[in-house]
Amino acid sequence: MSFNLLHGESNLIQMMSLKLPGVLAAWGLPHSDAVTSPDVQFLWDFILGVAVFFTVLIVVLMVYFSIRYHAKTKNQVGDHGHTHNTPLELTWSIIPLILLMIMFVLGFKYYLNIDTVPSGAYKIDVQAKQWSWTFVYPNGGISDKLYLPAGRPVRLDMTSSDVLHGFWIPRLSIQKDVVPGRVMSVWIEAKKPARMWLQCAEYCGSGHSEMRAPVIVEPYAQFRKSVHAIADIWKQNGKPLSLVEVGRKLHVTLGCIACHNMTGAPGGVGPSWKNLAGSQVHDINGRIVVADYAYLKNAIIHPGHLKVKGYPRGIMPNTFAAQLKKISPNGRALDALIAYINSKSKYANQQSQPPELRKSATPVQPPVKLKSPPAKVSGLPTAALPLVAKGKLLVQTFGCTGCHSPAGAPGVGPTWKDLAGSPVTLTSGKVVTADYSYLREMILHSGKLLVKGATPGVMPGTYGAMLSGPKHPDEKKLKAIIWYLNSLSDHANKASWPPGGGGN
Amino acid sequence: MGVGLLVFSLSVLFASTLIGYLYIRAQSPMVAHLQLPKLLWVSTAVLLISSITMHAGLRAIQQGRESPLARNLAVTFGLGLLFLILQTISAVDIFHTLQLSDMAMARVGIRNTGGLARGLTPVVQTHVLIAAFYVFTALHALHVIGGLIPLGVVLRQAIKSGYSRNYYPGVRYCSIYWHFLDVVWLVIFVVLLATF
Amino acid sequence: MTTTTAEIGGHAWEHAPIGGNYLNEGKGIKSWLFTLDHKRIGLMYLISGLTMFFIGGMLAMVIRTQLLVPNGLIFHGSYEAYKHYNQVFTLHGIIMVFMVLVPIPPGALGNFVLPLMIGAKDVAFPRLNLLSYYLYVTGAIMAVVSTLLGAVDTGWTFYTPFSIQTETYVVWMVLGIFLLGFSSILTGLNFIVTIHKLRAPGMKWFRMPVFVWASYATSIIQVAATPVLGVTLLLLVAERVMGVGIFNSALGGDPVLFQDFFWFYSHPAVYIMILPAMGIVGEIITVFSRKPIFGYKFIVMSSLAIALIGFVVWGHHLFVNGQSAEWDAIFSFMTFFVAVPSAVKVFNWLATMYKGAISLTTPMLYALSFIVLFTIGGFTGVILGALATNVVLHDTYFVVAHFHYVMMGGTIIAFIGGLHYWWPKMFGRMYNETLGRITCVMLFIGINLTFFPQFIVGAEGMPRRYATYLPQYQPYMIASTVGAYIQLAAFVLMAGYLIHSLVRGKKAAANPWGASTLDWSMASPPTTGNFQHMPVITQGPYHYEDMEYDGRLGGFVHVEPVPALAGVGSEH
Repeated sequence: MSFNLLHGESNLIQMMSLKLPGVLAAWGLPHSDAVTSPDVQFLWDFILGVAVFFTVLIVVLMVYFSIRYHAKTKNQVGDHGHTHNTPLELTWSIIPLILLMIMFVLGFKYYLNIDTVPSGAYKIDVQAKQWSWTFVYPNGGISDKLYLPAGRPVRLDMTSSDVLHGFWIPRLSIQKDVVPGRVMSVWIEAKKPARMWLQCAEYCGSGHSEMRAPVIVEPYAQFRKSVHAIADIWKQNGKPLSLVEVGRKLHVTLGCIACHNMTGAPGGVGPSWKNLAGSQVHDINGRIVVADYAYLKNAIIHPGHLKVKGYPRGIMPNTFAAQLKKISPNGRALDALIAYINSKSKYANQQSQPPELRKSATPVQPPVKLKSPPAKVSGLPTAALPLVAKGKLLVQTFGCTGCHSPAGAPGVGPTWKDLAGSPVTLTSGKVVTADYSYLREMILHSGKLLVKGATPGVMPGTYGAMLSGPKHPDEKKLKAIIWYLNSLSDHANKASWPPGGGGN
Repeated sequence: MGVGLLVFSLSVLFASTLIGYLYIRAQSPMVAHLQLPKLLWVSTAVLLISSITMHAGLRAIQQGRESPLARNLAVTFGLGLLFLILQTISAVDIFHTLQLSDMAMARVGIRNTGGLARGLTPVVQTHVLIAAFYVFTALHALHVIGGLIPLGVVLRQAIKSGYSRNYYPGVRYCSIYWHFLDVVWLVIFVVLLATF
Repeated sequence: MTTTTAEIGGHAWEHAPIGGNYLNEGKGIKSWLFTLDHKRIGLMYLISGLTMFFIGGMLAMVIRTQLLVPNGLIFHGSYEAYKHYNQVFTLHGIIMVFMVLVPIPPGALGNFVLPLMIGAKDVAFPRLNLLSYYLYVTGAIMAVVSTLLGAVDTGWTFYTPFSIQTETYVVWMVLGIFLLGFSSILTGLNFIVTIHKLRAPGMKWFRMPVFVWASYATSIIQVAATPVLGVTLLLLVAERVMGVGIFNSALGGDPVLFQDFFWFYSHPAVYIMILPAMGIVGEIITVFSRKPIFGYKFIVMSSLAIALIGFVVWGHHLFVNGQSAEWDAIFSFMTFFVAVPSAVKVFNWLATMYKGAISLTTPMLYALSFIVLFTIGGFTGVILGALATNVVLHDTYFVVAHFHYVMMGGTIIAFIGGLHYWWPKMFGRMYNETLGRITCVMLFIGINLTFFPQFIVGAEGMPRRYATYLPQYQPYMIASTVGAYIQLAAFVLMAGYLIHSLVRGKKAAANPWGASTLDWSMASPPTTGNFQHMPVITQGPYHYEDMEYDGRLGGFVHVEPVPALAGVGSEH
């Protein structure tokens, strides 16, 4: 649809509306701080003008008729001659229709401007949850305030982690629902510096009415400074942070949390940080070492040098050293991270704390008893270790662990602990060894081989097409999964390894 | 006319359920495939036959023959009951798989998939497919029960020779509704076959 | 329409009471609970509906009192307190929409008046009618049960995924509303068949009063749209109970699909609420202008047009949730389109008053209030229907004000007007006219004072469903609350004089207003069978030249016997 044709007409309306009574000016939309606002304001004025005109007309006629044609006696009747007048009725059908169509076209035309995100806009991510807003800036800075540059278009990509929310800044003429499961985008261009509120407009539960965030529109130079300050890990809202708090921010922004949990739950990609600092750990050769400051520092900067029993070497990226150095060349960022790890451990002590914090005398804890070591992976070829990690991710994605416990717990399907390489009894009574070809067959064609005690048909028959067949001729994912199975088993041997020793 | 409007209204009900289901299913690449209980073929056949006997009953009374009317209505009623029993067996049959998928879901937890049905794990898909199976069969079964009640009343009336060649409104209404149930089930069955 | 039997037109009929009427024929509670009489069922709907309206209204007073101060006067200080506020506005919405606005105008006035207007003894399926009523009661009871167990806090729209996650008793409430929906479908079905099959001889389609046409249009929506609500709610139950993954994004479903389904019903439901109101206003205006309604066919056609176009505008509730711009445009277009027939109606009502002989009785004042309030509600609806202004005003108090102008200022005002109009027919008693007029003016002022400030506060930036708000909105909120208390006072006054009327009111004549439709052709109140003889209709519904006021009766009588009387009484 082309709206160029309409330009002449809309100018005409614009001229007409200037002559409309001053009542419009008295009650316009209160604020118009965005570049799209004048359009909205004009449409509002236009519809309101028409509305006021017709409402006044209707009320005046109504009152006039009521007085002029007031019945003097009960028996007086109205004029029975005028029961209809088709041309007149058509007139008052068509005039509203024309006016309404003008309103529709203007509304749509302006809406397209509001709805179409201009290219090259500055991008800010918005995360909505019950009941707060979080803004992530391109430099990684995270804030609960929305900073906007005046005079530049900004694109906001919004997500919700729970229920529907509504992103609404009244003074910037913009509203959009944030629908969970989707990325919702809006754009804003504020005209001049101002402070205002962002409010949640879509009902989201108990805290709905308090789910608001300050919006700060600043000149571009000032805006850049603000965003830079947000990304400054050493400060929050201009106030300096303690070392532990900085470490807490870092472990999120650097992504440590993805592999190292704070809860002590088993099964993470890397060891949990709960009660790690100051405790005794096995190295890969079974030797006991204390996780003191030097150990933690070494583990972060040179992950390849250190071997922790139960965790394959080479999984942890060795890029953190450079990242931390970039944040603070004097190593203070690294100390912050270690301080945070200490804050999560009840065994933290003078030796495990970074030097900066040693003054604050933490009572020295007695050395603790050894935690039982996780399942061992020794014996697998080094080249296969990345594949083990990959397989671990895959089984989580596919949901395999829903039925097959990696830890030996009973489940819908047989546990994977100590499965690879061990003997298995089939329903036929036959005992076979769970070697590579058995494992492969079980995953791809679960219906064919039946393990004693399992219900036929429970395992979905869909994994075949997802892991093998024409789309996956190299069976890379399948092999990764089987490597992972091998890593869980004490009986793993060359026959249960995928062919190629992890080299492919 | 009343029955016509009722059937229209219920058609809107079933149609919108199916549209909603297909809309969601169309956006999700299927990774899970389930076997529908084989018994569904039998129950479908039973319902089809009951539609035929219903029609035979209607034809009988149109020609003024009363005893075939009662006989055919009785058979229809019996087949309707049989259909419900068979559907129940199928539902129990598939319940085991639902339990397993739910155990699995409880263990893994449901991740927010970050998009319309994309990236659903087979376990979750298994769960939602079976849940949909229950919604459809239960919704239909409720309407079958709702049809058996008036059918029973009409049957009693027919046994008492309450209808004649010139007066058989109850039979006609029941027949319209019964064929409607039949058609609805066929559509549901086809949709289930296509999406499972 | 001319009632052609001598009894109806002549003197004999007017000398009430011949004996019993529907109120006293059949005594005891059982004769009411198991009644098949459409008038009694209508009265039961009326009593139930007014009870629900009272509860919903009290909840509204709680809401308005809460919002007197920015931090909340009643519920403040914690999320738990806000949750209680959320439960209050949710129940207010559910009760008013599903238990008052949708079922009561057709259930109470429609049931009572419609068969009378078309010259029928009852509706087509009296047993089904009673079943509808009991489904309504059961649904309402389930809603009460759910409220006692743990009142829902989802808002009356039950948007997913919040409605799947909240721990309140959504399932009970939703099943209750499902039953209410079922009741609505059966009522609609009943009315359609009644209008098709039970019109008196000579009552051609275009001789039906406009209220009958409005009810017909309403019934079409009830039958065709309500099943979608039913399915939506059942799927919501399935989603909560076992997780079917259609509306839940965590299971691969789509929350927006829920909104589409919900509004596919709930927008047409708005027309279920407003069409009977328009019908009532049409009747009142022609009677009290003593002039046939202007442009009868345009009014009839606009009712049908609203019903049909109303089915394709639901998407205007989804302008800000990521619906594509093309769909936004289509729905916006249809929304503007549906405004035309409403405008036509308003102009036609005004033209009916032109050169009339107007008396400003209580029902007429309500009808005129309706026109003003509905016009304001309608025009603000246009502002919301335009896409560019919608994105600024969506989900704000502007929207709240808009639909309260239409629902409260439109449907409720017209319903109360209709209640006053048919009150003499229903109960055979008159009410105090002066108090009636005072109450109407109080309500008019109260409604404007309550809801007009909400337009401003919404445009200023206050979102809806807020338990607390920014301090700058407080002056408007106070004005609004004052308005609400004025409305409360008006309703208390109204309850007072209506109850007084039941006990002490002056006996009403058969036709106190001089209306020419069939519903005024029998004694007040009517007998159980409505008509002693089948009426035969020979002309259109509105004609006032053959009526004369008889001061002794306090009502109107026909002055000239209409021709073609012969043999009518024995025709059936």
